[in-house]
Amino acid sequence: MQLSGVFWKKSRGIPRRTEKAGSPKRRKRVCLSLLSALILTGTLQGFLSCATVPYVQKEDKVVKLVELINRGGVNEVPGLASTPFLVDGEIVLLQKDLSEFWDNLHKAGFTIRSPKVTQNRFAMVEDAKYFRDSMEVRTFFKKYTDRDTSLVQVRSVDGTFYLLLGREVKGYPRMLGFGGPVQ
Amino acid sequence: MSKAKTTYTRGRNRFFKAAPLFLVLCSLVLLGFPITAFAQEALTVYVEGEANAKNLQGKILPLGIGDPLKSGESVITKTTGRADLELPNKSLIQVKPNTVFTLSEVELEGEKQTVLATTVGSVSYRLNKFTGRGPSIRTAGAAAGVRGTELTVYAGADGSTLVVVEQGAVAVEAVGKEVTLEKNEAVEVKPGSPPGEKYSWIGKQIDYSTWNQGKMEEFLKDPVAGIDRVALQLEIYRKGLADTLPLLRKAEAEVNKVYEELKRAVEAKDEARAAQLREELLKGVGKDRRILFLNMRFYALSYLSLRRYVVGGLYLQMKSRYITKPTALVYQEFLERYRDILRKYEETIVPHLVEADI
Repeated sequence: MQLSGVFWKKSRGIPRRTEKAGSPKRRKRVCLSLLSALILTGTLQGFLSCATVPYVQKEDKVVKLVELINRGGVNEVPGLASTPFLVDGEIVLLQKDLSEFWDNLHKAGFTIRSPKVTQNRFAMVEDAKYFRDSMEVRTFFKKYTDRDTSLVQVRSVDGTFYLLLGREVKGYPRMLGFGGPVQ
Repeated sequence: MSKAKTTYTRGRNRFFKAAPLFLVLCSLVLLGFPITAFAQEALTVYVEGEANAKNLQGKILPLGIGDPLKSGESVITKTTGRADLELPNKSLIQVKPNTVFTLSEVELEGEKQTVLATTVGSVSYRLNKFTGRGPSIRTAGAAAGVRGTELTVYAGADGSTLVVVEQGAVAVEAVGKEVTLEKNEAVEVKPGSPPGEKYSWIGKQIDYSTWNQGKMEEFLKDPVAGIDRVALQLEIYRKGLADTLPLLRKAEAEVNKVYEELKRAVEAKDEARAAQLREELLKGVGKDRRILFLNMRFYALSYLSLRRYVVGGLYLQMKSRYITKPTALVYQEFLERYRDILRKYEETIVPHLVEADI
């Protein structure tokens, strides 16, 4: 069964005049349809853009990440700390160097004891100074951080650390940089 | 052949007629924009695991089969990554895991030379005969001249180099001293030092990871001496840059002078003089300036690579090992030298780099 326009018109019992293609009324209807489609697209885009709203770090997740660092488990979570990565003023591009860094930290007995998140905000190029105030680090911030990247300051009995964190990877904030300890 | 030549001449005439565009291009060159010649390209013919390419804009993108690698671009492989590249003469370059490999160009005696550089990691070469000057195979501390050869280059995390020849002959040069290797011979070069004694590697299994681990253990026994060796190599690049700069400035002044004269000739509609000056910009002073600029970039980028991948890697090793004993004398002495390298780098090299290099 086909639900045709004729059937619909008849079922409502309203006689309609046949409109020729290109007539003013037809054009108006087309314009209205286009406008509705545009509004609908805009609304949909609005909903979708919720996914790109700047990401704010949650403190409990930062503490969870610190606990993972203390356990020496950074390399166990794929993609948690991947290159390019910033360690103090060094841009690390080789994954092997970064993996060894985390392994060595753990072997050296490194931990961040009694961590407290004392600063948590969106990262800016000016924050390069917390790592090293150099052209390289500023370029790293320009190239590899975005509106989802936060600068998190963690104070602990072992000194102050700066973490560059992004959206979550397997329940942990993705790390883009690690600086400190600053006494 | 003659048709191609005619097309080229016609194109060149058209180019010269487009004076405003030409003048803009000249200004860009004078302003020091990094215009690189893309004469040499390699083609990616095989990729395994994770391999990335750092392009001329400084972006790191996954490398795929069929992707070209232009002069100035690098391949960075991860732990499982491997990439095979093919040069126009069908020579094969195998970039192994955990490696940074860069394709670039320098000009020597008015002739372009392809530079195949391994900063860290290992790369195997199966090189066919080249028309003209063969490529220079480089690491942070050594250069090898080759023609129709099979060899593997290992670049250690401490800046050391190991060159192993499988077929043909290779001349390995470092700090002005040259050693010629034949089939089945190898030589090791420490950063900032001449090549060591060559030896036969037959019967010895050379595995990059084991060799590199040995180099790192050697470094950790005396980190201060280790970073001092790298500093020597960095100093060679810094000196090369410092020697090139006055020549480059002089050439730039010459180009400027010719350029101003050209502007005047164009304004005066003196076509004959303008053509002569354009020729001078293209082949005379302009060429000199381009060669010096390429060489200046070569020194600056070689310094950057060694500083980033070797010095940076050593810093990571030391920081992670001494993080719980930061006052240890050896660590403090290492840091003192590390900071000194950074200071010199910021003062003398960074002004000649652009963000895309980082």
